Amino acid sequence: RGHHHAGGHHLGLVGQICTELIQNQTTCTDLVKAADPKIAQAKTFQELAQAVLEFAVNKGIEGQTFLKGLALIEQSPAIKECANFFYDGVVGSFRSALRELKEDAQTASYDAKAAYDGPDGCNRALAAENINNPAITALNSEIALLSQIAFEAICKYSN
Amino acid sequence: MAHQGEPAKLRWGELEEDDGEDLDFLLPPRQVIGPDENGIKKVIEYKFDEDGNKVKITTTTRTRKLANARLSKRAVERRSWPKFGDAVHEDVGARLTMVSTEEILLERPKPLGAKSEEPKNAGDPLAQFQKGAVLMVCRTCGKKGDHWTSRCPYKDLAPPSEGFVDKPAAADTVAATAGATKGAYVPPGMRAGAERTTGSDMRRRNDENSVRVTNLSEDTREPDLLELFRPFGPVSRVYVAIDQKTGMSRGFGFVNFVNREDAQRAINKLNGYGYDNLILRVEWATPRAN
Repeated sequence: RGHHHAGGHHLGLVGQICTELIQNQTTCTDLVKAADPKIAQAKTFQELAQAVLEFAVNKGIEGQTFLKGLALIEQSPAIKECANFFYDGVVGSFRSALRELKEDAQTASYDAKAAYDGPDGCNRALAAENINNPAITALNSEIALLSQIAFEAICKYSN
Repeated sequence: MAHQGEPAKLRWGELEEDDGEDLDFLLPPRQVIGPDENGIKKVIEYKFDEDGNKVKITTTTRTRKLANARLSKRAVERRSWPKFGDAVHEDVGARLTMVSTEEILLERPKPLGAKSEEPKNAGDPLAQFQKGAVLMVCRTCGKKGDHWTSRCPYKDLAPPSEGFVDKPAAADTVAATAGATKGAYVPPGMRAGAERTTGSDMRRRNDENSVRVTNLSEDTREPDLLELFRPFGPVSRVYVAIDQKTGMSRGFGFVNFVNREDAQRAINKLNGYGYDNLILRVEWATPRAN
């Protein structure tokens, strides 16, 4: 019984959240280790939520830039839809969640959760056109995971 | 000198009082005289005494109006209505209030703030029971977090009818990309039967059309919210925050409309609206103008 947080011992509060994401523990831990150090070093769940959302906004913008460049090359309606429609939603949702974090935790948690719709819709659009692009799939998985981590962090201190 | 004689109606119950003697029909009928302008009223009755002799009984009463007795116009009007049914035989001013003899159980939803504290280490389900934070589940009606089985208000109504099962079993959502094992918001794409056409306007997310609903009862679910808000226009998303451990609503939710005007109409109509014994608060999710 030496470890209180199995699997998340070195990641602090975010390790606790990764432990609770049963089906994505390893992915979550790997993502956090590679991400902003502020996430692993957060002392409160509010600090953690802010760090995750700031990282998520930047990740969403990077992803959208990547997708827009890809849309110019691939001439695919699905990729174009991912770049413009779905990732507009991702960036908008994460930004709104970050903006609301100090003023209205309920709306912030909802916006963080709603960001998940972006990668989910993008994946479905790609599947409809039988497009298999590992880079886009990895990006979508990462955004979806960040949405869940941010949501859980906000829920923990807003209750 | 007005005469108001009522014909004496022989009722079944009155004959019994005379020990079976059927000689009352030989007596003159009962007379009621008055009341006159002075309020004097005379009631003349005839009876047989113990020796079998006829006896005339005159009862003189005086009726007086109370100076402070004020009736509304409608009440005065109601008293002038002709009586019907069993009320024909009742006196003027007889009380018409009925008292129910049945035991009526009123189910009042718990207001927010009556929740128990949540244990901190949610990752270990066994630790919750060790710290005494036990989830209440009633085996009679199936309610969670409300009462124990021994305190079920419906236990005398066994077997409980389907009307009390107000929480239909949710269909198991297939966890495709991420595991949505908790009672939290499930994105539309991950819900059961969520096969929609991509790129539809119904799925466009717009911050400005997001409406936040608070002061929901613990029993409110997303279908309830959808049913409440759909009359105002197309709804693209409905979300109700659910407590992961108890499965009860956390008292707030969000509704996204396709059109902003529909959202505004919903806010105007439903803010302050009584819903499930609670007063709803409906407002824009993001108060500040972007």
